[in-house]
Amino acid sequence: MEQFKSIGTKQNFVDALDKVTGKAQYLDDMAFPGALVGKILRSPHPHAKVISIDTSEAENLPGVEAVITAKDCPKIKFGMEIPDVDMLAVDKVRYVGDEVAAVAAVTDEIAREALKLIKVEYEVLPVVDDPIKAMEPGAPLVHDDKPGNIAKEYHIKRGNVEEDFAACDYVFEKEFSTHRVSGLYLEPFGAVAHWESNGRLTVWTGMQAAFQARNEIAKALGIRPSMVTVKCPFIGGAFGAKIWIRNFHPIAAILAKKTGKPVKILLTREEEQLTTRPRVAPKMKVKLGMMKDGTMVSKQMTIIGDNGPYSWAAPKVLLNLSMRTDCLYRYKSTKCDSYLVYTNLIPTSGFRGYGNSQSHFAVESFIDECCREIGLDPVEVRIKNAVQKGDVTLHRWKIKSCGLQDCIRIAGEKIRENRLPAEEQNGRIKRGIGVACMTHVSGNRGGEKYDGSAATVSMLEDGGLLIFSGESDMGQGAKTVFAQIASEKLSIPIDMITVMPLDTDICPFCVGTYSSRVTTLGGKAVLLACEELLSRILDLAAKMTSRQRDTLYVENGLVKCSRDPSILLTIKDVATKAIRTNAGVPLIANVTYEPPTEGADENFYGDYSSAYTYGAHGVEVEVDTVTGKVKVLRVIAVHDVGKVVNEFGLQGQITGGVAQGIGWCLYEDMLFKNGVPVSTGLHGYTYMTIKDMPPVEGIAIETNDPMGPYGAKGVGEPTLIPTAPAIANAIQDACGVRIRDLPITPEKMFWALNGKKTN
Amino acid sequence: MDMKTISFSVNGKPQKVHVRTNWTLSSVLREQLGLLGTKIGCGEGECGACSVLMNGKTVTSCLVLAVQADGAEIITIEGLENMDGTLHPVQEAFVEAGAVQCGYCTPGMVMSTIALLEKHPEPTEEEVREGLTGNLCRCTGYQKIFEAVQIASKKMRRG
Repeated sequence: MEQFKSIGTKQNFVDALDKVTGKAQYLDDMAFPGALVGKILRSPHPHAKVISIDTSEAENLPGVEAVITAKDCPKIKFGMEIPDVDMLAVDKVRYVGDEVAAVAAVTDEIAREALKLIKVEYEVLPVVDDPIKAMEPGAPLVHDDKPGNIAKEYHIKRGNVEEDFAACDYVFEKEFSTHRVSGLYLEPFGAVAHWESNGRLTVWTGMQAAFQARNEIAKALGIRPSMVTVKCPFIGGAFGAKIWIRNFHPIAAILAKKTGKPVKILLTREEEQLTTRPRVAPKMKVKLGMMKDGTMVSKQMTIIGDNGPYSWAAPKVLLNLSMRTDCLYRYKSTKCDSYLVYTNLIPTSGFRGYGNSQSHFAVESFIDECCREIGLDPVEVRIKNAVQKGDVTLHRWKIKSCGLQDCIRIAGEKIRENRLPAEEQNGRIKRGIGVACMTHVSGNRGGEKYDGSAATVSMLEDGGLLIFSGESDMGQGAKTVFAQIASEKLSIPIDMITVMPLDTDICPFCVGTYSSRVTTLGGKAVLLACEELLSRILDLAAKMTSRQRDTLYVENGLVKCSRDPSILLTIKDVATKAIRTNAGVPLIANVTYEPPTEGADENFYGDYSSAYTYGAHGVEVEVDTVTGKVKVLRVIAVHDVGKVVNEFGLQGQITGGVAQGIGWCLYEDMLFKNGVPVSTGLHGYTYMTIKDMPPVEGIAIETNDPMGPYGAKGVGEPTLIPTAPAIANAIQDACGVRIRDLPITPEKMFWALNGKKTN
Repeated sequence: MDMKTISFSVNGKPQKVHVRTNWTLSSVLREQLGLLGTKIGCGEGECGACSVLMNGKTVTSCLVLAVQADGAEIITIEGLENMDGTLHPVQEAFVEAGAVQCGYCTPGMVMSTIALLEKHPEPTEEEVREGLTGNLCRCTGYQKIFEAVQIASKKMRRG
């Protein structure tokens, strides 16, 4: 077994000191001399025609330097897969928060004052706030050119579910649904835009996918991507909601162009809750065919996803919703018909799990329910049907490493240990346990069918190393993982390594931090770049020592010779020689790595991820049967991560994912009444605080993936995916109540418990 | 809007600042005094990222008006490091426990931990939950923050 010095250790984050001292600079901590404050006027209506906008009074307010509306913006619809976004409202507003006009002023106060002076005349239109009704004939249209309010649909069929259902011992069918929740990253999103004297645009903004942001900003402005630079300061959390740009990015650029000054737009928390990109909210009908022995034969789903008015990543989210759970078990056949529907509620997109969390809630809840119905142990049934290493799934995913059965078994065993009594207070308090499992990806060759990554490493004359990557660290610890990989490969201490700030003009092209891909793909690029650099170091060392190249190796910052212990060079000696002599060699390596995956074809077949990840959570809950309140007592979270790179980072991902999973399941909800949000900012939005956090035991299963760096796979999103269904399963175990619609509020529990009693 | 001159102590240094009466303490710390370690997460007193010590007690500085701090003693994250650059034991504990992820909640969380340990040098789990309930962390799931508090408690009692 290979011994590691850095990989697998508890490594403090390389930027922990900057952060714990408050010195880390996030966007709002940066100084931009002469910068103006940009503010956006947002629609108060969920759906209305814009009849007229009068900006004259705002323009005349002293301190206001620009007021813009759609007429100041390029007539370009933008967005990822479906271009349905206008920078500022052209004819209609489509949700509360939709961008109508924007101002740039010398102070925040003046900018706010100016917004009040803009007069907009609206003609209020009927609100589309239910995706089912939105699909009905005659429903009002959110976009006039989208009949039936359908943004996207998928029909994916493997085998023959009708035939297989007919041959099953049991066929069950139920409907599940999940809701909108906010990413609620702590640092509000924002951007500073500035046009350089050479005509290029610089945008400072904390993005998960900086290069894609560069391209999308360029698209919205109608300029070449190479005219735009995106620079990422520290990012205060993102969770999927900072992958893609928002309207404020090009708006800041237009304001900056018009004023000739840098313009900073920083969202307030109120704006964040109005316009952040929450989870796609789907209704999911699941049909499951099983045999008496617990064999799962067929699964069919019909999904109607609430897209909101603009579709950003929601089509991709719907695709994940429609496919990924098919690869969790060895089904004979599956079928899915799914629809993404426009409504006048806040636009949805990807949030930790990217649709996979929603479909796992439905499927992993339902399997549990079906097993209980026919008297089988849900844990045993899962293990029996789980995919395994060597499988090629229905969608042609090639499973090269898989610890799913171990994850389920360990979660099942551990949650059975040390249980509290099943009842207390004469049966008022009831306790139960539940397990749910998951599969996810480490990268996804979708979009432009490229899922590679790249890294540049540069050694300086004193042996210090700079790493340049276009993959973002949003707080999950990517910089630390990259530094650990370089430290391991080059045998230099981690404090000799700096992972450089992300700048799209300087860093090599990378597609970004999503699909839990950064350790697996970004890390692999760093590893390969370090291998190339090491090769140059050893070539030069061989010349310097007149020893055979293949006898040289590095250890503890030294170049050593396996045949001659007297040969000792420091890496610094070699670096100095390389750089400070005429015969020097460039100690810089730039590697682009593309995993051997394939983009899904027109029928969605394709082994599109470098590695597939697995996990299972075991949860113990307590239900107060009088109030309906559910409390999570403890969580066992077992994840097949391939190989642990940073024990600290891993455990942080696990406990953080579980916390968000519990919050999603029990507390968080973005509520609307006739299309209008019922809460503002964080008031009325219940999230997980330290008060509600149960102990979590995080357990890593190492399956040493053949493709990932040192065998590592992704773990960022997986940690949230099984929590909600595991809680729902534990609730049924505790008190016999099954809630199929998230969030599981005390109110829903109360009525379910009382309904149950009267039955 | 009225202007007023306030005198207060920030991180042990006397300060005299000319402020508008509607300015918040956080905006004065960040914009007038350049103390950018105090982060603004919500501006509505919910998330705790802007927590600082005012006369030994934590306040959400986005909700305190600067004029309310007239005559007060304020400690921010910048006031914790010793002259020689060594960290406060609570800061050390957060690093050692791996309790820092995106870092945006960290300064506020550190300040609240200091106030907690001042009140309860050996806090029970419940006291930790109570003491830090006003500080939202979206990354860590709090587990390592519990550990950091315990490490800090030991460090501080050792002196």
